[in-house]
Amino acid sequence: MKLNPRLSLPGAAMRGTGCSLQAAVACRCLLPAWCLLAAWCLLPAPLPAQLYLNSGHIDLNVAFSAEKAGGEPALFGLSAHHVSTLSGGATVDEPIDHTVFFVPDSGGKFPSAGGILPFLGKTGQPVWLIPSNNPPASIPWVGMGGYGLASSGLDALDPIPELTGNDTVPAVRVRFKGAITPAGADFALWQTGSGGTPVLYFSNRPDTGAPQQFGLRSGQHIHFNWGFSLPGYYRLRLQLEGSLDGVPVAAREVTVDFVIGELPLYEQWRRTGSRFTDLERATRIVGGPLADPDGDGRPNLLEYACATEPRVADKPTAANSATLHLIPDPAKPALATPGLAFTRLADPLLVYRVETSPDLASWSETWSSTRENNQAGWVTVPGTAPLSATAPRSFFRLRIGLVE
Amino acid sequence: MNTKYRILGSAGALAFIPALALAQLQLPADHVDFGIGFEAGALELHWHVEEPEPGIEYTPDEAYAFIPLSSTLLRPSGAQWDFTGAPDGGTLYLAPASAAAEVIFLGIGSHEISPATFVDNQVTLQLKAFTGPQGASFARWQTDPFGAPTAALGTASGPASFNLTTGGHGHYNWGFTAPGFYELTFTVSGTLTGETQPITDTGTFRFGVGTTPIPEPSAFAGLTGLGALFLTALRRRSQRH
Repeated sequence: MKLNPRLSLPGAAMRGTGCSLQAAVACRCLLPAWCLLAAWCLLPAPLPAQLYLNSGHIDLNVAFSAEKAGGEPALFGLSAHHVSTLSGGATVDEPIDHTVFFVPDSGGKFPSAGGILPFLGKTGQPVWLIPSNNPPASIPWVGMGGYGLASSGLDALDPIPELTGNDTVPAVRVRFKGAITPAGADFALWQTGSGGTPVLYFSNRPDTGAPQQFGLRSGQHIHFNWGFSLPGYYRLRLQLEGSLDGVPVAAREVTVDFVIGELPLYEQWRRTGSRFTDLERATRIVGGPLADPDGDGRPNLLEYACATEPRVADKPTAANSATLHLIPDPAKPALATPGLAFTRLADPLLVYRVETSPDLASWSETWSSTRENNQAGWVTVPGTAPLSATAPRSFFRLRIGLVE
Repeated sequence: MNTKYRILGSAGALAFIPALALAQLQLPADHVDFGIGFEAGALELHWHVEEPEPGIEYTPDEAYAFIPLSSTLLRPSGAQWDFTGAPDGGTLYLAPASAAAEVIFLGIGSHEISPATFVDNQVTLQLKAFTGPQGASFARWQTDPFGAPTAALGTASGPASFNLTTGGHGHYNWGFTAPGFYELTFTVSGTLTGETQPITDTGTFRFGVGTTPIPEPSAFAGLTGLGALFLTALRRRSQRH
């Protein structure tokens, strides 16, 4: 409800602050003891993944460095190691925290596991798969590689014969630590034996007896079947372990993200029309959520949230900005509470947070919305106290980000 | 026989062995690819030992794959497994599609071929000839995530050719129904982009199932002849003494 147009903030100027971007306009309102501020702010961390891969041969590549890093004696890394697709045949490594594997219904959805895969889904229910062999072109063919990077291979590590069957070739242990999944969903990683019997490695079901680990030799290349029982967002937690001359080196937990079924709305928006080319979507500097290719002060994620265009340097308007309003108290018409009004998208992967501060230094969250609570349209979030001549001044800001 | 001629005899035999041994190089029980390359305008079949990097290549006749008798699969029941040539419950000697200890992990790799070299990025691999123990069969297959097999070459009822997308790499189960030595002759063909006639290469790949190669008759003849020469020389030297 807009009560006082003069208090609204029709525009917001953006500025970058390190890895975060804040938008802020201070407005001294007509009431003397008040200074109100509305701000757009993208959540600074973690950087949301932005490279959606749904085709090509991609290996999760394990790298290892024996050099000290951050006080740790050793460091593991995991990258998405493209063998094809964007590079036209050359190999490209992308940080894994930058990458999401997308398995659409088309090519990835199977009517049922037919009771053959007891560790995945329910009989008669569909499952989504990345097969170890001959995947359709519409889904990513995800394997594992022990290639290392140019400066950090696996050759310094000890062999792990109990897992690899080889007592001479260096190896790393890949351990499954768990998964964030849609409610009630199963995830499994297995190979199919020569005679058709599944050999299970990872499962988020507690009763499957999966070993939850496998060994990856230096230079080795393996493919598995990846299975998901429901559409949605999956985050797998893997731990990489090894030893140097019998001494365990630091284990590093990494996460690998999958989206099953439909692309998130933000990604659909990025792919619509001529907003971004395939290559631009794959790079942070143009297609990333914090990039601002039109230089209008709104990074891409904010352009999406505000329904503006990322390649048009448009000015914010009252229709697509956060604005300040006074919300009357029905019982006491003389009193009104300041509030922040803005439009939301019904995107379950967006997070809206309203924060207030008395001094622009310390902020506290007063309201948030995400997942199924995100309803399309205007929302007005009231402040904590009615407006009065003696009330302390208060500042508002709105932060928008992606669900972690 | 005096010591001098014994040494000469040994040296002569050693001089002959490398040529024979070259054809008898046993590939490691590790990751090896049946390689399809494209060099100097020509297709090229070869063995490619993948590990350690950057690997090493052999022509088809320089080496052979060995499958120990311990690496087996009992043929599952169901007509979908008939292509293997093994009876229900019969033994298949196996180089599996998943890496296993003590047995070759044999893939097919064409990653050396750049995109768009061939029309539709496709080449065709044909099994042109097959020799092995009497009554034995060979089959190559993959299994899908639900366990169903897909035959991708076979001498019983499996297909005799299959198309391959270049630039990739895949692993298959290679199964043989009896111990012994096998020779499989393959022809790879593909049409270069912008051309109309396919180019080809043919190579014979050898597999020893629980056995090592039997030297070819010409090699036996060479060895026999060499041995006869030395025996004759020794006899003559002995007669002079």
